[in-house]
Amino acid sequence: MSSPSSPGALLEAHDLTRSFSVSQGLFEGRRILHAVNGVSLSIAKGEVLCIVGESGCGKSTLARMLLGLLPPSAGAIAFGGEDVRRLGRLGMARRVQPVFQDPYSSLNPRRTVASIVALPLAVQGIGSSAERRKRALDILDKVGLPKRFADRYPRELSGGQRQRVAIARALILNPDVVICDEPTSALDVSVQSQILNLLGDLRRELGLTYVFISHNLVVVEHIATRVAVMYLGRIVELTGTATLFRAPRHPYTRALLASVLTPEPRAGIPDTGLGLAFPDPLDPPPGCPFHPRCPSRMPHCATVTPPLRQDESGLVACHLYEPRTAAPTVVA
Amino acid sequence: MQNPETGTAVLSVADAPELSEGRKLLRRFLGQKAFTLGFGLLALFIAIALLAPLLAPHDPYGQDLTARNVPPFWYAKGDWVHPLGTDPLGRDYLSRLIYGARISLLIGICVVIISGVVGTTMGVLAGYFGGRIDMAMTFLVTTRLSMPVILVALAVVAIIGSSLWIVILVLGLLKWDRFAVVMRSATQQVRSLDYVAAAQAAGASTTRIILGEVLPNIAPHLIVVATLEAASAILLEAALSFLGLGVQPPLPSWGLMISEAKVHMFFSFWQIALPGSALALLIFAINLAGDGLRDAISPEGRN
Repeated sequence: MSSPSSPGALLEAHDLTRSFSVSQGLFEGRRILHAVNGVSLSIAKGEVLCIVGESGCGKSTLARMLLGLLPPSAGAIAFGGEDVRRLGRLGMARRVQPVFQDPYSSLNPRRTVASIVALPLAVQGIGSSAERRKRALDILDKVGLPKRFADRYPRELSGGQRQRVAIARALILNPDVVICDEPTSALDVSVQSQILNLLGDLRRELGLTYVFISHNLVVVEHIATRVAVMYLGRIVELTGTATLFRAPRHPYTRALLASVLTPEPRAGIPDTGLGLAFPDPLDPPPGCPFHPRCPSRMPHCATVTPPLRQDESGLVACHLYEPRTAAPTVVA
Repeated sequence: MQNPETGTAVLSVADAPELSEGRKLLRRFLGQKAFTLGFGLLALFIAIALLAPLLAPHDPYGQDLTARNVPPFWYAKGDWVHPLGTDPLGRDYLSRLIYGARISLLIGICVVIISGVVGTTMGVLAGYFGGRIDMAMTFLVTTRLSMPVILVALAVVAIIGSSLWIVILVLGLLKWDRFAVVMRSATQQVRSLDYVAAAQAAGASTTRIILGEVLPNIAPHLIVVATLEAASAILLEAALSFLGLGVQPPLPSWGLMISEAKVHMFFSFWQIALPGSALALLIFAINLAGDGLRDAISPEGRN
């Protein structure tokens, strides 16, 4: 495929779409749910791209596709300019590794810590079992777990320790990209910052690139270099972290930023102006998918889907930021 | 000692003199009276079956027409030459009971191995792959469940004749349904967990994931089903033998012994009570041990 690959892009997604066919019951037939709808991304080496959005917006589906766990329905993923299908299962595993959300389900309860961490090496057929164990111990040390944890089982570890094991497993193959799917949201608040700092230290030390999926905007501001905001399977805004937090442009981004809880007790629960209803992904609204909840919608928002446009401060998909010259054609 | 979470020196309970994993498992087992009792009884039965030639005072097939229907020692007419008496052909009842344990355990174990391999393979594949494979498996299980085991077993045995190995094969190829159903739902559960996704992301093959990640985690369910099925297979064999379509004489199967003794039920009650009690005790022991194993092995139940 003709790849509009930007130079220096490590991991790229071109027009990635994933749809699921959802059964409606015995006599209703099946309907198509577009979990991810035409997402294009380009992740440069060394950056931290955060993907934010509310539950059900398709961020985890996107992560699973980038990991190669879920084949895309349409579109392609390229690593270093090469289609990942040509890299194969093992080749992809050496380059992209995951850290999952829940460290209670991401570690096999029947394996010891050392065996969990060394599993990717065993799968790749690297080294003898003694060498693999040594490398596992080294990497455990790097994530801050002493040797004595090596022969324990996950159930003997705390949530933070488990997440360290998961990070060690992700790093043992020296991957270029680590895809973190909400790696701290299952942890205690006190442990979250330790894990985030660990991830930050490891990135500097090992030159890692992160795709970081989160709905915690405080975490995102702390760790990201660029932020992609997803809504109903599409990217609606993608820009540098500082720009996004200083001047959010898409109305959905603004609502997300307004939803951050402050420690100020009298501030109360912030009003996002979004209302309660998340639209049914099986029956997305016509036009701009966000228009039913948008505080600044215009008549043509209900009919014309805004494309993701590049301008001087980033990518945004909203009719508010269209060049004035091209007057919107209202389709009746 | 540094705790990586807090960075402070700690002395956790886990750092105290550590018991090895095997020792801990043993301690958990023995903590349960029911399991200790069940496993102890089962071990006794297995020991008796293994050591039958040493333990049996007489040849279980040796007939002695001068000593027919001798009652056990606690009757006035009983003696210690035949502690549990003799049957109508003068064969020593204790020796036959001891050899009967061999047949019951052999059938229980072999049937469970055959049906376990068939059912687990089907269940794991259906649970792991889902879709069409799952539909095909569900259809096979429904088909199998629509046929009562005892009827099919009777029909097969009536057509091709009966022997110990035919009974084992027939029961083994009929009793996989529970393995398939339980393994399917257990696999579905494990398959959706992130450690399976992590193994996939590491590039592991499907075979490796099933053998290394899925099977060890559904093994507790497998053990529970296996014990229940072993007990039920032993009972079914006894039922088939009682009906004359199972193990054939002169093999000392407990079911067959009950069957042979039923005509003498009102005159020598012990001839039917002894193999009956042995059977009940064995089933009881297997079920107790199975329950205990499940409680001790499943990681959720640990403290």
